Amino acid sequence: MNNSFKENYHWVTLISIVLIYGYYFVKVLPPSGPDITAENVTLFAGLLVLLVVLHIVGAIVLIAVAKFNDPHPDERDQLVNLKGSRNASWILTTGVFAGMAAVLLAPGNFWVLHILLASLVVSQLVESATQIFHYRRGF
Amino acid sequence: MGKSGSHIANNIRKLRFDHEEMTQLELAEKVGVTRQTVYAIEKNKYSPSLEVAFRIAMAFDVPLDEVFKYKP
Repeated sequence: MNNSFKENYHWVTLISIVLIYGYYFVKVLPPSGPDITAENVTLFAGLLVLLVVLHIVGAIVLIAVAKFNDPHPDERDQLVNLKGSRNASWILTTGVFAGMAAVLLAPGNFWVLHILLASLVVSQLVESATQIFHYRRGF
Repeated sequence: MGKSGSHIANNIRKLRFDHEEMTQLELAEKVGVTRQTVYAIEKNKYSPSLEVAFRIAMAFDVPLDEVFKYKP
């Protein structure tokens, strides 16, 4: 079976998030102080733009190379999306609580912001990975 | 919306063959789902909603129980 456009697009999302945010966290950790720096913000903004560009290029390549024969999500797509969102919400909720704990325990804003960012990134990864899993294995 | 390994078997592959070797894409277009969903239903990886099940039966012009069988 050929992968659907949606499944391939989730692969693009997964790989681009790992590469972009992986690079970001490698560059900013360990922190140089308790607060985020201007360099952190500049790096983050630049990588965010790159992430958007990667997504657009990835979608264009997929449309050009693969057959874009399933533009409208059907009931199975909607269920797969819901399962991905449900798993992602658990990660995000945990991250918010961890961020609240960091407000109380860690000085400065570096750890609070990066715990929240990390939980967002991991939740996106889990969402895409869950959807790929269900597209490949069924449910 | 069932799970893989469900107790619901189907004859979609045979029915497609009997209908001038209808492709999965042709069936998908008649039913209003993606080809990947037809593939998943055919391979028992996904149990469709009742509405989609009826639409599949209508696409082959047969009763529902000729397409799907429940095996407890």
